[in-house]
Amino acid sequence: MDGTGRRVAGALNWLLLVLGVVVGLVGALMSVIAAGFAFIPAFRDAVLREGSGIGPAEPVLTVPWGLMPMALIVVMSALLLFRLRRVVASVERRNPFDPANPRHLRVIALLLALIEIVRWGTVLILAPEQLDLAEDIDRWFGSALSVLVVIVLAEAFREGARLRAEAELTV
Amino acid sequence: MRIRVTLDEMLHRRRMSLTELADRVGLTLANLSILKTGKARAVRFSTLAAICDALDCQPGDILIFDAQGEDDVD
Repeated sequence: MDGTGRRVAGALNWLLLVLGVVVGLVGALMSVIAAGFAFIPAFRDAVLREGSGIGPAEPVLTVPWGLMPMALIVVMSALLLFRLRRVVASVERRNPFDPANPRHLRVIALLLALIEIVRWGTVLILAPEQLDLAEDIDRWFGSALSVLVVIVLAEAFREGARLRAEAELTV
Repeated sequence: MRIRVTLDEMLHRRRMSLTELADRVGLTLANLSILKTGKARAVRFSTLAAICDALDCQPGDILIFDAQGEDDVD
């Protein structure tokens, strides 16, 4: 790989690190708030009373149950970014066919699928009136395509790693 | 691996060390060690020819087909 490629991978590596940390912190904060809402009634009452005129009459349960899947999605996004960073880091090290990369890519594909499932499930349970079949099919198609592309990439990397190991063991 | 490398035996017969063979063949000791320990996945004809030349033997003297051996797993 030439110097430019390594520099791009290096910059991407840092960008993913910063993004991953920010998204991870947001996810952790959301998880704490969601847990507070769900399991500490005093916290829930205090926040709702001190909010901008929301008052305790607001349907209290929709707040934590909506926040929990959102926190889950954000945490999964952070995990995805960290896995992606490890793939990019291997490219920066001039070792793109690291045997660990296929596993990272398969996890990324799984996380992409889970994020979409959690998102759709949340809307289905908490706000079914917002479901739009045409829009959902369009979105599912896009998500399924992304997952498939990443799985194909994982297989390509697995084959690359195998070929590299074979080349290394050719005398 | 169903192909076994018997380089050790040939080296013993020729009273030659692996280091000496590596020098004669022009391979690194690490690569020759991979071959000797049976970890190699493939051998180039040029390498085989150089080894046979250095040890004054035939390819069949250092490679054995073992029907009972395990197949390679990719």
